[in-house]
Amino acid sequence: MNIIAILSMAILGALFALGLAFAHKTLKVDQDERVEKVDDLLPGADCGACGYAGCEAMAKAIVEGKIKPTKCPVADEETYEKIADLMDISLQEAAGENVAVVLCRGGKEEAKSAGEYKGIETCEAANLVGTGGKVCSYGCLGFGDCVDVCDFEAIRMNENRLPEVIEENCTACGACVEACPRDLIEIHPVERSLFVWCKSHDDGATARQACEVACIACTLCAKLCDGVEMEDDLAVVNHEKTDTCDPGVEKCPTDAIAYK
Amino acid sequence: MQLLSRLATFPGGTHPPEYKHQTASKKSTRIPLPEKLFLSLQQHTGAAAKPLVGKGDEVLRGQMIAEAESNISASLHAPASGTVNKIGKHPLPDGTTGDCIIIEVDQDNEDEKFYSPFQKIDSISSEQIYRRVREAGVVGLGGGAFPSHVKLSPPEETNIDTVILNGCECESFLTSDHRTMLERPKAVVNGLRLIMKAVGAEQGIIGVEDNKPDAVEELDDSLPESENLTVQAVEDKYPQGVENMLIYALTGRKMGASLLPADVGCVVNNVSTAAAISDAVLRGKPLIERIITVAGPAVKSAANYTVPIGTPFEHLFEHCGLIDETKLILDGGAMMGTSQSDLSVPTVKATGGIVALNQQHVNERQEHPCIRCARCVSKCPQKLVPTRLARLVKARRYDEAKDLHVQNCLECGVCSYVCPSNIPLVHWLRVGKEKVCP
Repeated sequence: MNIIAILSMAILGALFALGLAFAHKTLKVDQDERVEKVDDLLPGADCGACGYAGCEAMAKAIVEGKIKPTKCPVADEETYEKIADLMDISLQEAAGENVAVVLCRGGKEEAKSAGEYKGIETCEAANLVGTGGKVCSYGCLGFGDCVDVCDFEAIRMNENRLPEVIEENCTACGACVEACPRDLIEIHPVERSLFVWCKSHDDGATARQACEVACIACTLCAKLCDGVEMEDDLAVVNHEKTDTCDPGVEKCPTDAIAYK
Repeated sequence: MQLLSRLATFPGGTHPPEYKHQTASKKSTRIPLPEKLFLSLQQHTGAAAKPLVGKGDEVLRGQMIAEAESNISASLHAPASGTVNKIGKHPLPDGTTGDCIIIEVDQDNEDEKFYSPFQKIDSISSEQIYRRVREAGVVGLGGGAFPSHVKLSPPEETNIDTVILNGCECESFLTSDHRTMLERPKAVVNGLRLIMKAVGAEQGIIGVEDNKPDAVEELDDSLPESENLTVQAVEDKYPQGVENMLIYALTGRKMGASLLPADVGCVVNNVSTAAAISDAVLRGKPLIERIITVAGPAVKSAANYTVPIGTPFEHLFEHCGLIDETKLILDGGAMMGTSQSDLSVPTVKATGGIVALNQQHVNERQEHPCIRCARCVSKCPQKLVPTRLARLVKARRYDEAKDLHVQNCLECGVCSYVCPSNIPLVHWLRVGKEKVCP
């Protein structure tokens, strides 16, 4: 009796073992070991602010390249760097290959003032009052709404009352683009460098009077370079076609078209 | 008994100092024409007018120089004879720069090109009135500059029974409507009759604030006996001249925020607009000039001028003089006027007055925290809660501001005016409106 019991248990055991071995072979899911490591680096708050169900889900998405590590609003700079190291990419790549670009260089030095603006000191409010302090009705208002909405300290006002993008910090989240009432901020791939730093559609004479660095619609750059086009008295770079225009940059009378 | 009974009015509102004595008794005069007139193609609500003339063309006073292409737009006419200098950008009183037809005035040419006048109101059809008002480029002269012909052809399904003329002129300093009522009461009344005829209304009421008893009397004397026309004094309170406030005060009909006057059976026009309509129909004269008040403590000799549309502000100030300590120049009255930084801007059809203030009259007091006194709440004619709305907009919580109807704000400025903490409430509400309904 004892032998039968022992044998049947052994056979059953062997069968189950075979079943498990088979399942292990056929049903095995290969998981990138980096997922676990990234998950360990993430704060573990499982807050869901990144848009994924929790940190593990985000870690997986990071490894799969679906989301940039900097989209985690809880983690700090150090964490981003560590994750970037782990993924073997630069922090810039980790932050996304896009950055915000402010397309106005008419600060208080260059743009003519239309008078003293007295009112609520935000761009939104100033934009409702005539031209908001400057003669140019297209240019930067200089109250820094873009700075206020940036969660990454990636934009600051310089002494010339113009916003400056700190590219290392920029995650291309687009909050500043939304906030700018003059639509001066655009998101572009970081390597792009040729831009027309002006959004004024005023005719040449009007633009020249309003600002020293305005596009005065002389059309010189558009004539010299394929890929630079004129749209309603404003030169625009068609980045699908080109990212260089050396003769245009050299000849532009107001330096409106220039490299970053 | 009339004196003892309470005057018609609306709930809320305030009564800022009027400062009208400076010009109320000054008859409107003409001053020499400026060298150049600047006629903005976009000086009305709606689409810009399309120029009909080019550089170098000779134009006659009253000749159409730009045409309304769509229904909500208004044509432009040369306010003086001369030559088109160019069509180009020029600063405008709303603070922007816009396309203008610039006419070099020929001071000696007195030729005119008006439309042929209709002789009698009784024999004109409503279609003829509509067409004439449209071709004459008449717009609302109370400040809105809404094309008048649009108001004369209300949608078929509405039933207009009352035409109201707005003679309130509740803004500080301004007296141009007052002068129009005193100097041209017949034209105002004829305008009212023409509007009534065009929209098929039986009743016409001219609402005048009771700080202008002379205007009430003058209009009363000019009313024909037989028709159902009345002049009614309303309480002098700001903003009595807003459509919904005036309709409520005169007829008791409540206009919801989303309704148009036509939905409560009314059409409201300014008294100066009525006079312009009368000129267009009965004199064949397009809208090319109007009375403008130039007043304020910084003006040396305040006056009412009949000036051609497109006269630069600086030309007016050359005649009435500005003190050296001028601090602020407004297109419009002290409550809703727009401050100006460039005096080369021209007057537009809607410019009823220009106010120049000195330091003493400009509020530069510091802003303090809200003390929850609710003055803005009790005075808001639209029954909004400005203090709460301002805080929501400041925090960029626009959805909640929309739920509290920030879009219904009239921008009358009563909230900012009564706020003891100097909070720029109306400015915040404007930001909110812009965000909620751009």
